[in-house]
Amino acid sequence: MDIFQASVVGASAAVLSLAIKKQAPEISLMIAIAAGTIIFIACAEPLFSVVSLMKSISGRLGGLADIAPVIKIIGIAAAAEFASQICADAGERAIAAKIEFLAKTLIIVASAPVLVNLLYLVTSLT
Amino acid sequence: MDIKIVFQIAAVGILVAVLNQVLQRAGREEQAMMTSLAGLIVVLFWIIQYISELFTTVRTLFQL
Repeated sequence: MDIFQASVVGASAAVLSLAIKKQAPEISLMIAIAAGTIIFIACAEPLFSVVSLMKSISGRLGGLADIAPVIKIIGIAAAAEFASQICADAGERAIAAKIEFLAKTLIIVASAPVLVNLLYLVTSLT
Repeated sequence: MDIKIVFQIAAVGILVAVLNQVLQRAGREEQAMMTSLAGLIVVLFWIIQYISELFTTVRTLFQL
């Protein structure tokens, strides 16, 4: 699905969601969720090539550039962003903030080993 | 193509909105409430499949 189909899906979903926002607000939110999901699934296929490219680069660099945490963090951020934007759309900013907070903590946990390696590297230099 | 699901959900939404108006004019508020709930549940079932497909894709893509 190229960019033009994605923009057509997004624009038509926005118009349709606005059309029935007054009578059936929850279903208009559903339309927004459906369009968001479709466009997000559409961006999975190019992301596969990006991730495999990053893996091949890190493989060639040897163990130095461990790329696995970076990929995990991007995945956590993507999923959390998807859910928290939907909650913000529905007007539930508190839930969106909680999801963001959980995403941040999970990212810190995922990036802990990299930080530890960095500290060892720095201390070993002195 | 995937745009079909957006139009299906919009069709259900419009149907529910019209049914709500008709039932409210006929004085049956509780049935109006029931139809909107039914429409919501049907749409929820369709969307859950797409969201689960999305999350399995993200899981395999980012090795989560």
